[in-house]
Amino acid sequence: MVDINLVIESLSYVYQKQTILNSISLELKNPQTITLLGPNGAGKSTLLKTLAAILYGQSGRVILNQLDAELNRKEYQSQIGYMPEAALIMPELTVKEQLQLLATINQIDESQKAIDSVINRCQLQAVVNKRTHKLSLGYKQRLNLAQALLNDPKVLILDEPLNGLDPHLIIEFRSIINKLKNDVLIIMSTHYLAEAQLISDRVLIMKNGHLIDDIELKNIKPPDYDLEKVYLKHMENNT
Amino acid sequence: MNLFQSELKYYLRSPIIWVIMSLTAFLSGWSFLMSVDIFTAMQIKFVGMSDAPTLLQGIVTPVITAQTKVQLLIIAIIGGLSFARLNTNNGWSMIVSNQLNEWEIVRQKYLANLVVVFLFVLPVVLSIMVLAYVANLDFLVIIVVIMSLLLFIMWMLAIALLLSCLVDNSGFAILLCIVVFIFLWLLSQSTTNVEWGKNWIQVISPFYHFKQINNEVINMASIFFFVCGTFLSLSLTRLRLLHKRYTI
Repeated sequence: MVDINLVIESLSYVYQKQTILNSISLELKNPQTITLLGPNGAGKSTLLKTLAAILYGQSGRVILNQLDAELNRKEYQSQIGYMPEAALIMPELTVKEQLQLLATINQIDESQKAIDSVINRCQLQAVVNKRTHKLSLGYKQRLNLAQALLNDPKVLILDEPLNGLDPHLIIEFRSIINKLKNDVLIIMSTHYLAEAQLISDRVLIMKNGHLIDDIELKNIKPPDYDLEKVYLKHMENNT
Repeated sequence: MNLFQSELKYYLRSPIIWVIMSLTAFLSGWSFLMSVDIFTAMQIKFVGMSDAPTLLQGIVTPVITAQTKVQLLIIAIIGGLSFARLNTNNGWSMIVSNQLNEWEIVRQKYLANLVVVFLFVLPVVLSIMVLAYVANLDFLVIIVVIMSLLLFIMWMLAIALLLSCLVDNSGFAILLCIVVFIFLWLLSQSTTNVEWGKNWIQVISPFYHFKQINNEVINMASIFFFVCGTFLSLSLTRLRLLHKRYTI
């Protein structure tokens, strides 16, 4: 297993005079699944976008194994898999064509091998020749995940991957994530506290752009520890 | 599969594009046949005229000029959709987080859109080539006329791409393109102070330069206008993508 060390140093992001991220500092290492929790507008998606080098903070740095996200954007992004909240769906293309397009524009070596691999990992075999706009929500999310995995990333960033999925699909998604967690550092955001507790090794709670708690869940599991109670307590304390 | 092929598939797999293409092909064919018909019917009158119009003046130029008006709508639709539609399918996430440079994205999208727009004018170009062959017209002059249409399309499409990446809604992008194109066309109609010398307002309009090249003489200033204008619009589109990449 390759050592992954993702360091966030005093990261701040201001948008239209509003502070979205307020001096966030973190160190994340593999093998871990890290979940960001927080109410809407807490800054979770913005933090994930800065980790994916889609956004850059006005101050602070994001460094992955000595690579600065802003100064070495291309090399940095080649090691990151980012799954946005809304799936990229190109209605004119089939699943396979969309993956081929993504592989081409991300300049992935041995693209066919990478495509076959993600089709298998995300269980997309049944729909490879189907047009993407005709996919069910579950398959759209799998395609979204497959796109993030195409470049065989060291860090996988998932923005609300469970949104809109029914319980059966959430269980399927969880099993896919569990298979991946040994190979990559997974950072995801969600509003599903029970799922966060099941999937995560570490939970970060955010509110109003601040990181208000950092909880290691590795050795504490329910019923000894109830994440829901801790989360609600934080929300009440910081109102 | 690259961005060029994906863009082509977007248009060519869309039934509405084929419907519009059939309609424009019908309109173009009809206007061409009407021009031939009228020109043939007028032959008796032309016999007595010292400055009777040639085939080029009577058929080729009017048909090509009519095409520029039809292309206002076609280019607005094709170019307007190119970037603005990315908001509906989260396509911007692909644009801002890939390894391609911005110039490559603009180039591939522009070329694909250009190919689609050329498909719309292909029936007219073929008709005129056949007419030139049958009527033994000077091919060099025909090529200059067709080149003027192609330069005009390239210029307008580059502007449409720029407008498309400035707005977030594809419907609004198409409307904006139509408004700007009609404005540019109106500028070419301006006759203010034309008797006092050069009308500088007209010079901004691509329709004016299209007419200049269509005067059977290659006007280098107009070619310069089209080439530089196209390059400038595409460069601004690239800058806009760069801006999007760091602010989305």
